[in-house]
Amino acid sequence: MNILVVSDLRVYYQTTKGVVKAVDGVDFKVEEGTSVGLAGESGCGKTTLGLSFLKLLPENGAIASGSLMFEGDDIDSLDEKTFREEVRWNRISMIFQGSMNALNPVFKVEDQIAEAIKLHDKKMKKRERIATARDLLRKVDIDPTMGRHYPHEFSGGMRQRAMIAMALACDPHLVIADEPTTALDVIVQKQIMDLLRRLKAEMNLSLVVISHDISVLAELCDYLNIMYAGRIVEWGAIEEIFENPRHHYTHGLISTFPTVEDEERKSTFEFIPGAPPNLLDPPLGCRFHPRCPAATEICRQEPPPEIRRQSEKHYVACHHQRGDLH
Amino acid sequence: MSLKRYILKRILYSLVLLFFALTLNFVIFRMAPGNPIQVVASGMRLEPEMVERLIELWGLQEPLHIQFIRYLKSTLTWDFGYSYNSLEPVSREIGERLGNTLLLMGVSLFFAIIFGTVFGIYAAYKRGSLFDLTSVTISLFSYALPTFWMGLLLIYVGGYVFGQFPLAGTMSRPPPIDPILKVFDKAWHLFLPSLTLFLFQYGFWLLMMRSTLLEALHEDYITTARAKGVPERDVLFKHAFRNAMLPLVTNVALQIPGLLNGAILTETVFSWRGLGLYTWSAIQFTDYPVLQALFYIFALVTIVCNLIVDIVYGYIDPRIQF
Repeated sequence: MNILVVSDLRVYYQTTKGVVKAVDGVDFKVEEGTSVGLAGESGCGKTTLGLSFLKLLPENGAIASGSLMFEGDDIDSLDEKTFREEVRWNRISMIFQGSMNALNPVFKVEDQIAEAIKLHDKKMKKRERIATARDLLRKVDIDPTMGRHYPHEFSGGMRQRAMIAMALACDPHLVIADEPTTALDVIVQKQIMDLLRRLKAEMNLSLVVISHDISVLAELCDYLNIMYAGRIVEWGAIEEIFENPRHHYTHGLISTFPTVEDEERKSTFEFIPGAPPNLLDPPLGCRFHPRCPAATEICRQEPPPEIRRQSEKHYVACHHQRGDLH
Repeated sequence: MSLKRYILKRILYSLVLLFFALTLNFVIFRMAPGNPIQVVASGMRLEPEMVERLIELWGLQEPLHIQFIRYLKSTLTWDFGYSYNSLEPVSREIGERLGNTLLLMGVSLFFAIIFGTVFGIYAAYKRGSLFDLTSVTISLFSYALPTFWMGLLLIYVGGYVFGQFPLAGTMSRPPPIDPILKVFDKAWHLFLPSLTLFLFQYGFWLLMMRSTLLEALHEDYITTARAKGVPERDVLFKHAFRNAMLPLVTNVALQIPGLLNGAILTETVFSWRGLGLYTWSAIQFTDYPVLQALFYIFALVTIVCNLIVDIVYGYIDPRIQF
């Protein structure tokens, strides 16, 4: 069963320079109990997509068209109050990049967690809320007595754990993790990934993980979406994508990470030439064509077809997908 | 507890600072042109014996370090000597005026903070709206206009055109005998000068509150709060305001010394019998003992305000290192 189904979503920002089409026709779905990765370079629209699930777009941004169905409810048509009280954190919660400023510096960590509980369970007494907050901290391997401290007294890794504990406070059905391991050192990254994997198994969570780091997603996800310039260019089961990338951009992304197994790639790094396009005025045709090694005339003129491959578990949008070149 | 040590440390720093301020205050007046005898004797001829007698009375024959110690002792005991102008004890004259200045400053600061922050919060919340635009424009104007000009304008409008308010003074002469009428009489005189100082500060508080709140509203933890389902009202007043409050507290303390400055001009324009007017007349008469005492009090107010902020900060900002 799909817990979240996004169809042909468009999210536009009004800026002084014009309309930025950050998300421009995205189809996306999350099957219950699975974790779905969303990868792409900075500015490709992946965070915007994540924020739109919680209707947390900045003031100048809005959903222009498309639909967001979450557990059978149309997110966009729910009124603000119902959505705030019933959906936010209660059914969909979000793990922000906690090592930065995602926790409020002037409140104690356990109070911030307890606040989330209070907002969605009005009957619970204060003492119980604090006890629950401490249990959550224990669950993410933080000494529960640390809850009395302030975020600045936590290390980056602990702040990220506290953020995860907070996201789990109301037993959400879907958790969106936006760059959960970014800005942490590799050892802490590993610990956070292990924690997320463990929690996902224990609590049967559905997870959306947003990251620019495709190796993090490889560790955490069952499915992977590759986003480029506001569109999903390829998605599929994680092994499928890594073993058999069909889009040239996906291939480029995977090749930018070193491997210890593949003899051919051991000593050389590949990279994708050029920079992502400006979303004020994206290229015509396939948006990747200016950087694509396989681009031809048709790529410059026509948007790529959407091709389902083999099973229903792999999809690519490309005129000349890899493997059956010209 | 380490908070106690932190407070103790701040008090110690403040005492050191106060000592430097006292020293400077001593040196400035020893370096000022002319000596006190000349100032007092200007316009009248004093017999040499009289001069001798005055030098002895004021201890000016003593070496400087002895004078300095005597000066320190006299400031600590609030004994500032006699005014050259009125020949009254300076401490008594200050005592009579301090209350008036505190009243004027207190009333204007209180209302400026209340109105400034409330409208500042609302302007930040409704940023870009007509309300935001007009309140920012009005604030910039009222903050930029010189207090003496605003004071004169208010005297003209309130005291002359409409004739509802007194042109000058602190009380009617003779003052009403009934205590309730006395309070009303004072408030009636207080209205225009405090309005002048209020307008001067109001813009500052509004602009400051608005900008710090806008800054706080763009922080990541605000997005977290919204994602948690915190209602907009609590996002604003709890999550953003608690963070925006920190600069607010600092500025209360930093504004009070600046307010003394504004009080000098305002009190002069309105002949409000407070420390500001006293300072102005002391400058006119080169009344050194009075000026020395006033400078000391201004320095003391500044240092004490800063100390209070440091201590309050220790309580409201968990990030302060003790």
